[in-house]
Amino acid sequence: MINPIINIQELSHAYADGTNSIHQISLQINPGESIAIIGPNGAGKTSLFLCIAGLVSFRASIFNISGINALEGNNKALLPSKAALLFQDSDDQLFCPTVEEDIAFGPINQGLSKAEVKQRVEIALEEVGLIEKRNKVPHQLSGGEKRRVALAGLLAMNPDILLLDEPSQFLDHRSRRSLINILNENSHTKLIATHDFEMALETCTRAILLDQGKIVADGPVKTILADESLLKNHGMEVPYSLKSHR
Amino acid sequence: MLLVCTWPDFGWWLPRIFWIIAGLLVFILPTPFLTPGETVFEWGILKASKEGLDTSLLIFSRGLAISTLALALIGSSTIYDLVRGANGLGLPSKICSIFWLGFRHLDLLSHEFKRMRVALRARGYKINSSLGSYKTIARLSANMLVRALDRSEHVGLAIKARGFNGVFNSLDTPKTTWREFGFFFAMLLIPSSLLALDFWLGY
Repeated sequence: MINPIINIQELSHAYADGTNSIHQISLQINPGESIAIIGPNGAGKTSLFLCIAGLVSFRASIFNISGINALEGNNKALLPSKAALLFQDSDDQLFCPTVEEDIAFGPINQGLSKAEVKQRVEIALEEVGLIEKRNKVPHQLSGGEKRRVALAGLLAMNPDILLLDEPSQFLDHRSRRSLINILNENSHTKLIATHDFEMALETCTRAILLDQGKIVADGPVKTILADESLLKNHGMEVPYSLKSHR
Repeated sequence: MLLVCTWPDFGWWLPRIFWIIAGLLVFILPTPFLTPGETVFEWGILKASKEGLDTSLLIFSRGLAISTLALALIGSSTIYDLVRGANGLGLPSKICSIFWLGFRHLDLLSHEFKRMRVALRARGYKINSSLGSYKTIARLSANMLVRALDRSEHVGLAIKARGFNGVFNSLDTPKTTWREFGFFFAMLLIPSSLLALDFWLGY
C-alpha cells in the first residue's frame, strides 16, 4: 500500500473576520498524482493551498504532508520546503534583481551551499527553458516568462509537492502550451487550482471539486469534467473538448 | 568624484546637479540678507553681510558635497547592491529587507497607478480643479492603498513560502577589484593632502 504524500482530515480554515473558507475537508493524495482543484471563485482553492504550504493558521485532526505531521511542535514551518506554492500573480513572487537571483532565493534560504544552489538554479532554468534570460530583470519579462521564472523558483527548492494556483491565468496560447509541456514533463505531485478545464484535462488524472469550502466531488478528471449537471450546479461548464466528443 | 563614477554618462547627473543647485538656492540666496554683520553690498533696502555670504558659501559647498556624494553612490550602483552593501556594513537585516521590498513595492505600485490612470482616461476622465476631480483622485489614492495592503500580504506570503528568514543572502559574493582599491586610495589621498596642507603648511 502506498503511503499518501498528503493526508488531511477535517481541515478547517477561517479568514481574519471569522468567515470560513474551508470547512472540515478530508483528502488523501498519493505521490506523483496530478490533481486539478476546481470550483467557482471563493470556493476555498487558494486557502487550501495556503494551508498545505503552511502559510496560514488552520485546524485539522490529521495534517501530514510528505511525512511531516504539521500539527506537532513547530513542524508547520517545514511545510514550505515540502510543498511549494506558485501564486496567482507572479509579480507577488518575483522581487530579486535578476532571474538567477530570484530562482536562487529559495535554495539559499534552505541553507544550501553556493555550489548546490548554483546547480539547482541551472537545472531549474533548463527545466523551464529560460537559460538565456538568467541575467534579465524579472519584472521586465513577459507574463509567460514571469510565470516560468516563478515556477523555476519553486522547482529549485526541490519540493515534493507543487501547488499551482491558476498557473495558466493571463497566459497567451504559446506560454500556456509551454507551461503545459513543462508540467507534463515534471514528475512532482501536483495540485493545480484552475478554471482552465482544457489544461486540467491535459495535465491531471484526478479532479477535486470544491464549493463553499467543502469537497463536493472527487474522481477521475474526465468523469468530473464531463458531468454537466454537477458542474452546472456549481456554476461551471463542461469544457469544449468533452462536449464535442459526445 | 561624481564625474569619475558616472563617466561617460553626463546626461544622467547634469540635470540632477541642476535641480540640487536650484534647491540649494532657496537657502543660500536669502541668507546674506538675513544674517546680521559687516555690510558688503546693498540692494535697495536689503543689506548683504559678510557673515551671511560666508554662511551661504558654507551651506552651498556642504550641500553640494553631500548631494554629489549621494548621487555618485546611487549613480554607480543598483539599489540591490546598495542594500546588500549597507547590510554588509552592519545595517540590520530587517531594515535592509524593508528597504528593498519597499523599493520593489513602489515599482509595482507605480505600474498599478499607471494602469488605473489609463483606465480613468479610457472612461473620459480629465484632471481639473473641480470637486468631482478631487473626489476621483481621493478614490484612486484610497484604492491604491487598499491594493498596496493586499499586495503586501501576498508578497509576505510568497517570501515566507520560499523560506525567507529575514536575511537577504545572494548567489554571488561581490569581490573588490583593483579599480575600486585605486579609487578608494585616490579618495583617501585628497582629504589627507588637504589636512596635511592645513596642519603642516599652515594654509
